[in-house]
Amino acid sequence: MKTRSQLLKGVLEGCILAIIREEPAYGYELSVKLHEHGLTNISEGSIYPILLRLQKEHLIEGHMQPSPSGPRRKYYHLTDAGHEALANFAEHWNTIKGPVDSIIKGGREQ
Amino acid sequence: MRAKELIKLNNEKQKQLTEENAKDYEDMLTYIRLSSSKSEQQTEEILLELLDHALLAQKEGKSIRDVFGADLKSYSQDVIEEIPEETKKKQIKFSFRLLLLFATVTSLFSGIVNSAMYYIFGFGDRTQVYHLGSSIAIMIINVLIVFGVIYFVLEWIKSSTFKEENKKKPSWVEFLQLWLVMTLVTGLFFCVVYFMPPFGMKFTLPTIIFIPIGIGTYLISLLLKD
Repeated sequence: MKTRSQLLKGVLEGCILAIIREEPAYGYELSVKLHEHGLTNISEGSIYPILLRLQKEHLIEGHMQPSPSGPRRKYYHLTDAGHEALANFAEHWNTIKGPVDSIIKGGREQ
Repeated sequence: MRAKELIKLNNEKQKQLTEENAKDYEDMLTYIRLSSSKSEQQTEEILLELLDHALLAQKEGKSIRDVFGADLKSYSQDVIEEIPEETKKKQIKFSFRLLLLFATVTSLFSGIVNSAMYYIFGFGDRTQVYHLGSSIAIMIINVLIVFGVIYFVLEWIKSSTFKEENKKKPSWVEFLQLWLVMTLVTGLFFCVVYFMPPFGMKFTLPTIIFIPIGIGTYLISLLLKD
């Protein structure tokens, strides 16, 4: 359970950065988008501790803005450091996803 | 938006929660808000975000527990852990304000009681002898007691969150416990004054002077208000 959540946290951070890069989003919107991409086994609430951490690390910034439906919401967008972190994450992910997949499948080359 | 406005907005929006969700959200809010030393601004921002999310989810028939997990306490702890610390400057300012308010209450109390005794009822003296050393020692000990009480009350309120309805203590038991603690603390204040041996430089002050001193510390505490 612990390993699973640690692994998920790191991957979720990267996914959240990637989604915010496309378009600034608020919390609920973000969880809907993650869900739409198929990340359905994570609880919706788990994004908030991550959003807080990304803010603390100055990778994202939040601003209260009126949403299209009316009420003001806290929209997150990437900072320069966030763009950099996302590029790093993508690079790391690309170098490990193939090998990890093949190892899990039984050590055969893909 | 500043923390105060966020709190107001939060209170307004909470009314839209269903009864069950309201109870769960209130527990989370109390628990997260009372985690001292965390940035008030950041705390209120995340609390409003959690509420907004809960309200949108509620429209889709999802409960707070569906969204944040069945173990709301450990979820709240995860959130608290990631909230940045309050700036040192704000923490110090806040502590000073508490000290000044405590000084206000004790000065006004002793000033009014002693003066009333003398001028209205003819008891006691117009002036009182104080010892610099013991006065300072009394102040320090009482201030420590005040911070201890604040800490106790915060922990006490926090411990009352996330309890199932049937496991909650009846409110009269809670009231009695709190009453007992407050009585003990008040007694402790007087014990400190009563048992402190006099030491240090002696000086005499008219008791009425504590009324303007109390007003003064109150005015200074207003300056420290955000």
